[in-house]
Amino acid sequence: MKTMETTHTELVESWVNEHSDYLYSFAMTKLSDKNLALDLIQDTFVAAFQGVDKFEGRSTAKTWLTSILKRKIIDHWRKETAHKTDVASHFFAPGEDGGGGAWVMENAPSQRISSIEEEISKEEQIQELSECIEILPDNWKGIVLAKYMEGKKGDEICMEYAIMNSNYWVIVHRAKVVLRDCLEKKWF
Amino acid sequence: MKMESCTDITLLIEKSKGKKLNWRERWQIKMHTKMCRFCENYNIDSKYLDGLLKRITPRSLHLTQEEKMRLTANVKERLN
Repeated sequence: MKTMETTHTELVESWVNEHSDYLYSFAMTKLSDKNLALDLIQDTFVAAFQGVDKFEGRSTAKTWLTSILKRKIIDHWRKETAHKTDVASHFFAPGEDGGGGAWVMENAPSQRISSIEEEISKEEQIQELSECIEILPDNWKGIVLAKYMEGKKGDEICMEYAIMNSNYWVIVHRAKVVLRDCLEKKWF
Repeated sequence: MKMESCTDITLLIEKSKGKKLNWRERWQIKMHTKMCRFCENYNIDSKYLDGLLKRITPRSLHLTQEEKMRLTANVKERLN
């Protein structure tokens, strides 16, 4: 008869083989850093096996692992938000009242990226946009992909990321300013 | 009426896609983009960017065999 330990060991192997590609693809829609993604996936498997008694067939292994990974990613975002750097800060000069001001000249939208439509194929444009998305901070990337790629509603995203609706719009705005500028600098 | 900054106007442009703005906000965008070429460009590009963003598809990524082996080994070690 197999001991509990050998069973676990075999299970680790088979779960990693079956599910790690999916978990990795999932993590990379929410994070930019591959090593961080691998660390969180490792934490996910460890947490899964430590709590394996709670699992026992209540859902598929894939669903269960994904829900654990999701929580790990959210914990990471919350830590990151605490000391975030605003990658959009060099786009707008500070206003007189301490709020936002006018465009900083060298990063202002002086060209229209929409005018490139004919010159570069759509596939190539989307490819270049995917590259630009990698420069966004992790939680911005996650929010942008959840909104556009996954088509999630704002309310749902706010809940998942534990952010206020006003903050959600600021992130969407800043992310799009950064992405638009990234494409303008690639194309003009 | 106070002139809104480019930061505020471009933020309003984004918000207008999620909720209906009041007449004052719509008027602010209209007046501002008439006078500010940068925000006018942003307004047009913002829609274009939405179209591109919606067409991004999830990529299917793969770990190498070596990465999987290392992952398995690390997980096992931590469970012991």
